[in-house]
Amino acid sequence: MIGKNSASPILSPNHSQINVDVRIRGTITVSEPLVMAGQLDGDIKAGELHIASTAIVSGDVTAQNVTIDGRVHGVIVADEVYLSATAHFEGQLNCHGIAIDNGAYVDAKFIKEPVTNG
Amino acid sequence: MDKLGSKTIIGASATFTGKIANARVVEVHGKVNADLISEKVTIGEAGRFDGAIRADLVVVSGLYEGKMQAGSVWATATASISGKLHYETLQMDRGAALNCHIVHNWRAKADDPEQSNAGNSDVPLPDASNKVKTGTVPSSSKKGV
Repeated sequence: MIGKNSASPILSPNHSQINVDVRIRGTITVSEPLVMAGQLDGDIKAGELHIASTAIVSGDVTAQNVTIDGRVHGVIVADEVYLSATAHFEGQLNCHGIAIDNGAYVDAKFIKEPVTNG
Repeated sequence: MDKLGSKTIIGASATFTGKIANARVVEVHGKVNADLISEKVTIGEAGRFDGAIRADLVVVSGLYEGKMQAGSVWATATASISGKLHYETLQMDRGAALNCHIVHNWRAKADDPEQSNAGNSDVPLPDASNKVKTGTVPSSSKKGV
């Protein structure tokens, strides 16, 4: 019964994703790409990070590249940050390069520094 | 959110610490130290999960340590489970390592502690013996009805 409807070769994807309705309290550390679409109360450390439009993140974000479509409240430390039109960001931004789309809500302190991490 | 599908995936390089709630389908290929309530949980060959799981279906191919409460558990050949395992149905592939306290039908036992030993009683229940004695007068019972 179990064997029939479950895919037996369990592939291990390198990417990680947190789904829309998932609520998390804690810390996520990833070196491969991460798509965050749920709610997180805690910190993220990632290489490439996509915070989807449904995501709500309260905590510090450390990554090389961050794309934000959702809500972030906290400190972002990254090389490159892209805030899309649906982004909502409050906090502090330590980054090397930044792009903000027209329509993004940003209430933040910007600190330009050459950070390399993730 | 179509490209996401309905799964939550902790990838091979990921380390997660904390608490996960409201996730329906979870795949773990990295290291997780968390408490999780879900519908279906898959721990991949490279996956390592420490903490409590409560789920309908758990497929274990990696390492698990903690208290698992599940409807169906499938331990594949590469699985290693330690801690506590509460299950209703269990499938073990040849090679799976179980080093744990195993409890069957935990839900029923939690609801009714006497239910588990009701089946093995040789003494007929009081209701049953009464029926045998009064069985000689079925017609009278008909009249009563």
